[in-house]
Amino acid sequence: MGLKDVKEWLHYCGRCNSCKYIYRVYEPSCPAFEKFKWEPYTSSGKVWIARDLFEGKYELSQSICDKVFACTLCGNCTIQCQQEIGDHALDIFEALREECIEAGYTIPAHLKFRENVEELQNPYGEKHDKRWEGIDDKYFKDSAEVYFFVGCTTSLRNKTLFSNILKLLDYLGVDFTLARDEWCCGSPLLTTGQKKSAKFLAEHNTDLIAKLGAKTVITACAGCFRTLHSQYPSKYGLLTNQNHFNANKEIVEKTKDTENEKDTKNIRVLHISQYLNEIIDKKNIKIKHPKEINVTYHDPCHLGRHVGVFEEPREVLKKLKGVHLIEMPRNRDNAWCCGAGAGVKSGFKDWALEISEDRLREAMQLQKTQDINIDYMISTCPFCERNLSDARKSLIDKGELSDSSLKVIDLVELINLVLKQK
Amino acid sequence: MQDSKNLKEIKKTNITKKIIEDLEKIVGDSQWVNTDIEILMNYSMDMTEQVAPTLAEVAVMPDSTSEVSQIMKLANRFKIPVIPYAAGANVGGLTLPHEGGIIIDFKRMRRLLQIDKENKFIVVEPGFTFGDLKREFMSGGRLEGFRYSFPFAPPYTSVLTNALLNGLGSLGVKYGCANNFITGLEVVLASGEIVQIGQNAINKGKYWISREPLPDLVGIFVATQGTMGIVTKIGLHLIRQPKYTINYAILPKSADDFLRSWVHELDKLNVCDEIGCGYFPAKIAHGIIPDDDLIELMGKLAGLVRKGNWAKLLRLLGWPLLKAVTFNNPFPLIKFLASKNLLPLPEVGEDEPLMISGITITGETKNIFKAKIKAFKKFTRKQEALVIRPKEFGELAGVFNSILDLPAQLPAFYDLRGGGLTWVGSYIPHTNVADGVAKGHKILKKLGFFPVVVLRPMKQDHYFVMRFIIAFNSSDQKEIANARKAVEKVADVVLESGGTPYKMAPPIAKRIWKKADPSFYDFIAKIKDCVDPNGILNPGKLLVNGTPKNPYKLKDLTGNTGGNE
Ligand SMILES: Cc1cc2nc3c(=O)[nH]c(=O)nc-3n(C[C@H](O)[C@H](O)[C@H](O)COP(=O)(O)OP(=O)(O)OC[C@H]3O[C@@H](n4cnc5c(N)ncnc54)[C@H](O)[C@@H]3O)c2cc1C
Ligand code: SF4
Ligand code: SF4
Repeated sequence: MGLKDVKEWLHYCGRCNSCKYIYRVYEPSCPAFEKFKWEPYTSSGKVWIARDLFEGKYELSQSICDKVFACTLCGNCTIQCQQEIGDHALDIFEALREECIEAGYTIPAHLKFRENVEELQNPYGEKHDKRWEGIDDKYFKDSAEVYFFVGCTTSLRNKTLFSNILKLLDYLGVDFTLARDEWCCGSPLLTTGQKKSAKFLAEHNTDLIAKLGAKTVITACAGCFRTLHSQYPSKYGLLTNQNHFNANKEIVEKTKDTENEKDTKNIRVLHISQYLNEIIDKKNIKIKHPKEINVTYHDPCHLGRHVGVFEEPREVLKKLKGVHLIEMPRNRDNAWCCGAGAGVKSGFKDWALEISEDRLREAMQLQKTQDINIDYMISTCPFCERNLSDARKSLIDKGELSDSSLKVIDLVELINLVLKQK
Repeated sequence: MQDSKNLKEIKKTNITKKIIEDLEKIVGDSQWVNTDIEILMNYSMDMTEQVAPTLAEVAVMPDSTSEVSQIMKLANRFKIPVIPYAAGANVGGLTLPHEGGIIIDFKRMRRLLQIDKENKFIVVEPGFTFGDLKREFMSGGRLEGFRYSFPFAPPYTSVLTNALLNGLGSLGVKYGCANNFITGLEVVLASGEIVQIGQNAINKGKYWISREPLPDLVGIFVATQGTMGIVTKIGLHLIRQPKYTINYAILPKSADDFLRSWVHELDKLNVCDEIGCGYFPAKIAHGIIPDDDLIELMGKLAGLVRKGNWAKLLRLLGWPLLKAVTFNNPFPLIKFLASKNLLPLPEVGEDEPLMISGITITGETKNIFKAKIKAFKKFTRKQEALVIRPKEFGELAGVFNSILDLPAQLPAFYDLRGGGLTWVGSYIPHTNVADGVAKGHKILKKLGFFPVVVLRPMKQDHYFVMRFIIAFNSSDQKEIANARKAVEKVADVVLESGGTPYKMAPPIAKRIWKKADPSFYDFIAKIKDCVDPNGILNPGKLLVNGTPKNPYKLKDLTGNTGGNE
């Protein structure tokens, strides 16, 4: 997708500035704008850059690239905008990214992703086998009802979460398998304007899913989830027919037929929170925490705003007796981004951390105003969890936060904690 | 930072690399000084698209009055134009850098500096927005229990600039335009001198309670569009939020009657804190798509009730009950009754403008509140109008809320298809509003624009706001040209109707001065020469013919010199 594909919308922003605030809540919505303050960091600023570039008023440059890539693609602005452009802004941002890459303007860390993915099929530059180190062979079957797509962050950077998920799926008696041949889902490339380079990943992973004969693919990473569930269908015509809504709140249509499509078009892709929500009820499992705890839930952008999965993680939390969910003021589609997404953590490390610090501060403020301790901030994405945990550490180091509150853990880890203490 | 090649291309004034380095020193960090083309382009045009883009050479974000003062000293020494900028949302091109120069963007000066609840004032910086203010008024905010006159503007616009621009807001009918709320100012002059104005100057900034009883120099900086000085602090009155509040929407059967007579009668009652009205696309009111079967059923029911009693019956039923008996969808019934002339609903097609008025009644005690509502109801019963409580009105509630719950978050009736938005706003004698509206409608229709008009009685109905809004497709050159034409023609209608356009864009200013007594212009020009002898502050605005010291020739909208007529 280049600017020509979105040209129809380039004149639809009236620069009313409303997207800088949460609608009717008047809290900031755009992390990039709050930090950098210059207009081109905002939604309208980027739309106008796209318009100017398309009309040839000036040319692409590294400085434009830096601004375009400082956006976390969180999509909050698109929710707050009450005009039609809101439905197309993310496409415009992505088109701008692709134009930057085409013209040779990049963020070095993002190029590194691509090299790593091309060579080792993961963005971290790790050897492929490292994904499965310490994982029992029993988890690799020739076929199963459910395929657990682990993802690079969970398998290479968060083995604790990985083993927690395996443990929980075992506890729930799920017939599932992992796949040794799993590759990066492509999210790091797709969100950094390198769609073309991600195609081989999408095709490989879809093939793999077909071979396993699984009927359901589950993933615990919001980024992998959005990619498999929404972007494979919309960008490559793979894994189509997902029961989901895109940012426009429309069901994504099957875009094209492929060879693989015959075998995979009826496969359901679910986030683990959706799967757990179903299975806990189906198996009538009762989980009770021995002592009352308070938790708050951080909506990952890729899971919430981008696909519309807001309620299932909350429903799972509500099923855990003794666990009290306390909502932050900016929740669901108004949630403040964790700051890690769309290549921001790799490209602008410090500022990604600042965004997460602000998210934690929101919860800290809640503790203050409600005079409570919030034990955990729950995430449903290992990437959010990682950035929020880094931010928590930074706030503890700065003396802003005590070690006894707001521990950042994944929903699966929370359930396992509860199970352990039973 | 942009490379020097680009900088050379846009160079117009005396800005050198050294000056840019000096600016960086003043604000302490190069990230707050910017010459990137994509940043400067952002300041080169606004949603009105009425002017060919012109580029500033550098944009700077200071953090304090002292930094603003140092920037002004530097600019004054080298005679570089300076344009103060809050959000650029004035809808009149008032922040466009016609002569290049330095943009001072106030995003970093966004503080609520002082709150005095007892004396009911606040002091804020230029970047403090209506959204920020609203948040403070909301539950748990530092200003809970107070209110202010909110414009129909989006939340990211500045409270300070709105007051300086004579903004019109929700409390206009009681208190007049927003400059009436100003209690004092801190201003940086072109020379960099810092001046305090108002009682705050006497008591070392402790009590910004009023500009009276002192010489009222606040006026120099009001409506002068940033050409006289840069205001770095403003004191503003807060109004108490009474305990009880209710909103009503009025859909008069005849908009003309409403404007000519009964809105003034309504004001006389003195029960409304807010009265706003306007012509919006009628599709808003038709809102819910009527279900044919339901209409038929309602038609049969209608035959059972005698003509004339419907309005009464509906009132008796009340909206909740009406909604219940119509399966939550009262519109088909209303439409049907109106079509049979059984209800005093305005008869307008979906594509025509419909007059809707929103009013607010408040009361500190229940008795006062009830008495006011009673008086209002007694009055409206005599009028031919549909009076409803928007809260109870299904999908319409959202639309009315965006009219009544300000700041506005660009509601649907601004329909920015194509992104272009411009307007002619004016203050006009109330005796001339209805005719002015009719003439303006005609012009807009002829030029192919839907006539959206915002109207407000101001300051106890002493005068009226009449604002024609023109939304257009900014990718269509013909529409842009038509929008320009519409602005000029409607401005002429305003002037002929005895009104004066406000927040006037330079081409409209030119028309105003042509009509004005020359002594008025000359006097302002003399003051300008005193406070800004080098003419560096926002050149090209307001004083479009320049001053004795700095003559100026207004450029054409399209970028040529020689005026736009
Ligand atoms: C959709 C829409 C609806 C609107 N509705 C209304 C309405 O109902 N009522 C109303 O009153 N307004 C309305 N406005 C106009 C406008 O948003 C506000 O009045 C606002 O105050 C001006 O916009 P701004 O804050 O972006 O200021 P800007 O446009 O940035 O600046 C306005 C003027 O103030 C000058 N200026 C900026 N900072 C300073 C300073 N520190 N010292 C001196 N001069 C300065 C600028 O140079 C310029 O001349 C509306 C605007 C939009 C887009
Ligand atoms: S993106 Fe939407 S909300 Fe933001 S400035 Fe443009 S029109 Fe307004
Ligand atoms: S996607 Fe998020 S970071 Fe990017 S402009 Fe929108 S709100 Fe800002």
